[in-house]
Amino acid sequence: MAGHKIKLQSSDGDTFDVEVEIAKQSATIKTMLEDLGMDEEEDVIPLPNVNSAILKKVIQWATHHKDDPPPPEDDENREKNTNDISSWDQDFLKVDQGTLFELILAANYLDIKGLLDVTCKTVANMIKGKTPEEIRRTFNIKNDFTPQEEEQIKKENEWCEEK
Amino acid sequence: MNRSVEINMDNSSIELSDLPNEILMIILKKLFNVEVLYSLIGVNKRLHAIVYDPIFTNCLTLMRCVSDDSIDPLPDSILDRLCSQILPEIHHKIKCLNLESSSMKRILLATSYPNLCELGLYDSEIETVLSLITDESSLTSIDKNQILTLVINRTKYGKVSAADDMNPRTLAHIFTTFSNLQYLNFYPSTIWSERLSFANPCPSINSSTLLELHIRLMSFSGCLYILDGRFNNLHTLHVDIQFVYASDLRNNNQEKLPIPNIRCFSLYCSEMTNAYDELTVPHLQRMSNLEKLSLNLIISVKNTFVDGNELKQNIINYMPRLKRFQFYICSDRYYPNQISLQSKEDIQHSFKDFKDDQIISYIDYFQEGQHSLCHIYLYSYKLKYYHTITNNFPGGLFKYVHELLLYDERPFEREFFLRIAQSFPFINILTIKNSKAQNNKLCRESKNGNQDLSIIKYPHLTSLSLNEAHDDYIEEFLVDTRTCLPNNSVHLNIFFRQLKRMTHNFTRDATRINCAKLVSICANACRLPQYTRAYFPHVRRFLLLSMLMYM
Repeated sequence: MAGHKIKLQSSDGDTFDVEVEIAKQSATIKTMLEDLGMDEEEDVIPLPNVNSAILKKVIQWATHHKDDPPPPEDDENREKNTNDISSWDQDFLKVDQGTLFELILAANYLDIKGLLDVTCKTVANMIKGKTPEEIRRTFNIKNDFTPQEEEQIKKENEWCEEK
Repeated sequence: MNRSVEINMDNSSIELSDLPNEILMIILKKLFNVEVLYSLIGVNKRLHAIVYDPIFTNCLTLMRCVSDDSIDPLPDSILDRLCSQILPEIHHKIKCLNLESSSMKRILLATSYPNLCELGLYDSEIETVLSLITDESSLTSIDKNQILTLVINRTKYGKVSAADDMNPRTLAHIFTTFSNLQYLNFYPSTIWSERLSFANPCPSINSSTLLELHIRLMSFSGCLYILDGRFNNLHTLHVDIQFVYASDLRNNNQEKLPIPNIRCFSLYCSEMTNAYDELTVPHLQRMSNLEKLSLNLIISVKNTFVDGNELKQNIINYMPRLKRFQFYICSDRYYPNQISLQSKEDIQHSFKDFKDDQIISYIDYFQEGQHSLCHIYLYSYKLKYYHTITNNFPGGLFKYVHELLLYDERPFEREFFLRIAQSFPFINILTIKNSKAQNNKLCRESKNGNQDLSIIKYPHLTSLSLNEAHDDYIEEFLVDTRTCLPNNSVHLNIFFRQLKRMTHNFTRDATRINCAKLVSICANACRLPQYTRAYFPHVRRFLLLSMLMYM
């Protein structure tokens, strides 16, 4: 039997029926439900920071991961491993950079730890091993250092080396 | 969803630069600091400023940890840029450096590190470590008096024949050179002959600043040497000892004076001891102010197993401030005359007053060998040494155990090996002693043609001993549809006749893939016939006398 559902409304006005247990992977939605006492199927939760396309992707991710155990608490000393992304998540995140960054923003706003973790790891993997020039090309970043500023940094380094 | 939404995500215009700093920090924290600095220093002003955050510049690990046991240098392209640009640029921000052998001198000489207070040296030859510490020119870039934390780990002794002399000399120089050292981790080697001993003690091994010491020792007498007052402010001591002999007591003339400063003590011992009552317990009782105690011991007992009552009476009652007691103790008792032993229920009942309800106990009985093993431990305990696994093993995850003996008088079925691989994911050294044929093998083969369970992987295995294993277990490990051995890293101990039989005189296809992954074989000094070279392509031709060699 399908679980109890709620309605989520995107920034562009589309609404999505989502099982409460799936929606509760978002700590933001979970808090809203608890604080506002919303449990009627007609109640609509507005999500003004997430557009319809991204919200659909988020719901797709949350539906696939609905039976996952809760993610571990943040630990600065945890082993840095960006190679543990499941093959389903890897396929799910084969999207353009803009969508990937929007998913990160949505995961952060909705406070979905698992989605934030896997999307940030994906970007980290795109950074890993690249030179600054390759980073600029990959992420369309302009070098805003003036030649004088670059020269100044270089000089400071030379000073250190001579010392 | 109640309606279909037309989605067009191609036009999303958000870029990496549009993400707030908070999100960029989350992303960058997924990377090692050296990766962050290499890729983002100098990209643009904003990213340059972000990666200057102390979180990315305070502590640098300038090596690649391939696994728990393997460290590689950074690629040359990264090292070049680090030494020429990045380190000189952030040198004043670096507080902690972890370095490996081949690049440590280059990095230390690349710039000055005026604020460095933590230094880690990994995978180095002991002579390199010693010269680095004693050679004034190597350490001009750091203020030695400012070093509070020093880690010297996984040292190699390739060119040194007398490690027992080199280790104390190095230790003595450490305390002379780093005069304000507060934390020292000196785990030079896991090989017993290369462990630290104080057969010829150096008088300069002492420090009034040292607060915490992690050290790997040959014997318990080394531990008593450390505790004789030469480190008068030491409050935390973690020792990993190879042997605890009764002779350690005779060689030490310390009286039973209290050791009041020690508040945290861990004792790991890899070999069985018969001196628990006369040596280990009396010295534990001297540490009357202990707040945390960890014991990882394998004990030969004459009468009763060590249980909760024994721990209370002889250890806990002597430590009124004890807050945390972690333990794995395995008692081995020989019983030729079938004297009545404590039952499993007796053992578990003895822990009824312990606050921690995760205490596990079980007993292995070996009728043929006329002895029994009683294991008592806290499940959460990060134990290193688990003594003898049988079919009674209750499971759990033990990430710190690297060496295992699987022994039983009942057969090990395939499911057992699956459990072992899951419970001990970082196992390096594995020995199987079992002369009983598997029960379920024939049934399984007829049903599923050998493919009933997924292939078992031992990704960190470096040594496999099957000298005392039934043919079924040799098949279990050599047939590639059952076990996946790691590439080019495993040494195999086996009897030549068994190896020949199980590989069908070195022609069997089912064992070919795993045999091709072996790097060395010790087969009771037999020589490998020339025609088998293609079957063991990675077995080195010239090995030690006892190892298998080509004719």
